[in-house]
Amino acid sequence: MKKITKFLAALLVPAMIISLTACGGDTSSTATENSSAQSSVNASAPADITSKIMTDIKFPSMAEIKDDRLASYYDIDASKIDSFSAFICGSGAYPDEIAIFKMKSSDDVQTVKTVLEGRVEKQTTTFKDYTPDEMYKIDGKNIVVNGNYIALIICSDNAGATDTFNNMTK
Amino acid sequence: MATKKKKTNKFGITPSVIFLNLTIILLLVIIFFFAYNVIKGDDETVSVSAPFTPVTEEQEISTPESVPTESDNSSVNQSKDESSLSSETSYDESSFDVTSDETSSDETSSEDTSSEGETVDTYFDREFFDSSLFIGDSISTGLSLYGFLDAENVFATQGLAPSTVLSIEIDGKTFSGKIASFKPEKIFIMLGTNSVGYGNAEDLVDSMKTLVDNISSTCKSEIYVLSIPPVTRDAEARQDNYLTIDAINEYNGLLKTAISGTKAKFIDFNSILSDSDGYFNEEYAEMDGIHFMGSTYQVMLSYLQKTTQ
Repeated sequence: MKKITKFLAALLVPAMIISLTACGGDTSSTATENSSAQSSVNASAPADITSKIMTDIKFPSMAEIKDDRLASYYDIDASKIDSFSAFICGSGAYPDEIAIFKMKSSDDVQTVKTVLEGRVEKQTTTFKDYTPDEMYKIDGKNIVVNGNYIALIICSDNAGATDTFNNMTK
Repeated sequence: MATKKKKTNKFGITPSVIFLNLTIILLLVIIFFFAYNVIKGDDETVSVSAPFTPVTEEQEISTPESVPTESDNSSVNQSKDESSLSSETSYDESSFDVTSDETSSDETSSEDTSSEGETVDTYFDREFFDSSLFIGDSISTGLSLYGFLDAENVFATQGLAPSTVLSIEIDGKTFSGKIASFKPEKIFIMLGTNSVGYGNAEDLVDSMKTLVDNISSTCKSEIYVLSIPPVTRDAEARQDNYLTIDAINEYNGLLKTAISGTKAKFIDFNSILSDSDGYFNEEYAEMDGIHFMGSTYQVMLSYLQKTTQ
């Protein structure tokens, strides 16, 4: 009887240890998944939003506008910008453009809106005769505001991009 | 006869049982971690290949100061892989920090291999073009849109043609005003793509010649006239702007002859971008098959620097 007990003990001890190890692994995995889910919910940085939009929607070759060229394209007081992410079509072939600004205060959004309206007007002037087939991208719904976020969206799926913007700035 | 008593600890477990336990534990732990890593590895492969693989097709070009990035995501949607072209560029002793697949490339490399297996240089010195002015259509706007050159170095806009350069205003400046204020040492002209499909090639060349003569009479700049780039097979088939390789080649041939009789110099840039059949090398072409990818400008500037220095 003692021998049987010892034999069972020999089998049960490693089984229990492995079970504990496996549980530990699951816990870790779950924690990682929760973390990912959490981060996607809160992924509202402008760079994350433009990245998501440009992954989901077809864009031509785009060039990023960074701090040093911001003033050349958007006459916005940089001190009032919390963060931004902007891309323009680099080849000059298409009017595609996406720019998302997170302002430090929602009070500044209206000023930025005026600037972006000017940008839409410039793109309209540039492309209306050059590529009329592309003008559907400039549909009058190219500027979207949500809180202290404001976006200029000119692409092949403005509605889809706007949904993404709204979802990620909630 | 005395019975040999087995050695046991205070729990009555023999060393052999303890050894057996440890061995089983070790084996199970190894098996468990092996299986865990295999499963985890599979998961990672799936997650990377699904949403992010296209991103790697294009590279991010980021520069410390004035050179922008060419969006990874844009290339997400490109049907072609231009990674070989954009793998590196450097200029002004501070190269682009070109990243592909989230990894920075080494700036020491300044050559790429085209699909034809030819080595293409992408190195250029930005300062070399400080006093240069590029005149062109939408294709030339990319020089500044991508940030390879400052906007002041580019007098270009969508739809510009040789016959309209002298009368158009770009960003509030006429061409003569631009020449007077900028005083370029070198002027590069690449024009004709918007017109060659519609008009008579000889008339178009005459317009170019008139433009060159006008410029050379009003300033002492060195003038370089570039042949216009080819188009891809798809672009020709779509009849975009009625551009055909035959029309382009005819124009470029006439242009070369006409320019030889002026103070300007002709540069055959077309052949740099062409594949063995004379069509636009897919690696260099924007998705419309006419315009340039970001890396194509690097090739362009590198070639022009080499040709005109």
